[in-house]
Amino acid sequence: MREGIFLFLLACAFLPAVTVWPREPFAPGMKPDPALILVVWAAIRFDSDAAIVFGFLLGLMTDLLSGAPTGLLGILYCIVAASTRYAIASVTVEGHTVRAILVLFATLLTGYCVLTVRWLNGATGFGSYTVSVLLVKSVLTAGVSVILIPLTDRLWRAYDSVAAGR
Amino acid sequence: MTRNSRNIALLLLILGGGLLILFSYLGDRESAVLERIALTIFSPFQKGATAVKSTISDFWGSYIALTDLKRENQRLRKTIGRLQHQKEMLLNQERENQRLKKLLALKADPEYPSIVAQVIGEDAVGFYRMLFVNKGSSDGVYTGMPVTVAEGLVGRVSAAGSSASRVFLINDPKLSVDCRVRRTRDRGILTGSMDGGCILRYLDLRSDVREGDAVVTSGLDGSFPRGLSVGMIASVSKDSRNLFLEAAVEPAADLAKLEEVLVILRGSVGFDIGMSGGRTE
Repeated sequence: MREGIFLFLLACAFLPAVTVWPREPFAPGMKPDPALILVVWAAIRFDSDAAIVFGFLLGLMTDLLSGAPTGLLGILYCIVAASTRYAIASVTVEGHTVRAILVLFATLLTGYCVLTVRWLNGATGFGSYTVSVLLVKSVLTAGVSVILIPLTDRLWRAYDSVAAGR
Repeated sequence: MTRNSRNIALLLLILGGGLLILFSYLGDRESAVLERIALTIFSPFQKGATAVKSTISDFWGSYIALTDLKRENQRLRKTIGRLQHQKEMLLNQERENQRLKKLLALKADPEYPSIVAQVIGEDAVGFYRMLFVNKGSSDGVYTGMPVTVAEGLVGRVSAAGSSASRVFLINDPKLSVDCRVRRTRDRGILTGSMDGGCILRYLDLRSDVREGDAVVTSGLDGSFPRGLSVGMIASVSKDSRNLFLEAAVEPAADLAKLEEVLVILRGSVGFDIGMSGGRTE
């Protein structure tokens, strides 16, 4: 229950903020995806069910605040949460670097899927620029995760101790 | 010696001393021996005392002055900060005023009723070219309505909530606009490209479109009024199958720096595509 409330508060705090961030620090589309970092963090911190449900709901909310077809990011974030849980079960995910690499792959996977859907819908202009946007976006997201994951961890611990009345 | 004799002797001594001092003072100033002796004896102490006094006085004065300076400095810094803030506010208001004036000039067009909306957000993930505006169905904004600024076409409302709407920009591949090249009257379909630009596609191979030609909406799609400025042609090339020409179009509106936009309100039937409808190009 505590996890659910915390994740809900986190999503409500982050998502509207993401829409008012400067869109293009480097070039169009090149901005980090903090929602994805939160999904990876939830998958690392909580059990599979909570992470997957959180990933799906956060993806749905992100869909509403972006131009993506409703449900696309919901499914993708859900897959990211499940994949992260699988990675945790298979290998040791400890340290900032390993987590950042996990986020990097998650962003690449999500971006590749979104671009594929766009391409299937008839979008044009895919080329080296689009690939570089995706790569820079992934690296930026991985970089931000180095700060955001420990910060979210601290927030969770603080919230957990307050909620538990400790 | 009795007590009286001692008192008389003391009195005479004091009177004698007093008279000696008096006479030496009344005579030549240079010959005031006692005074010179006193000055010689006391001057080092006086100098020392004066030095100490002046040091303390200087120190105190400096301290007071520094305290005052510090206070004044703080006050001036606050004043500068406040004035800078006011200056920024005024500059912002001036810029906003200029933008709104341009929008009002467009809004004054009696042909299409419109409403000014403020941009309140952008795409959350970065893969789409869209923005959120603060007007929705309660303000008369509905899906499909065109969105412009004074410089040119911005996009179309793709979803309208009660108090906010989502607008797809013309440089998003999801949006297509029927356009004409103003000079040659050639028609084409303008779509966004994944690299952030716009492409005018399906232009006739025999068309004489050139770099720098203005592109305007044709109004034939029924979604956009006729004659709205869209942008300028940046380059022309044949498409991959050599069947049509396609032109890269530089949008007239600066889509990355939108703050206020104008939503053109229209009825459920869209815009009149007859010869009488639409603005003068």
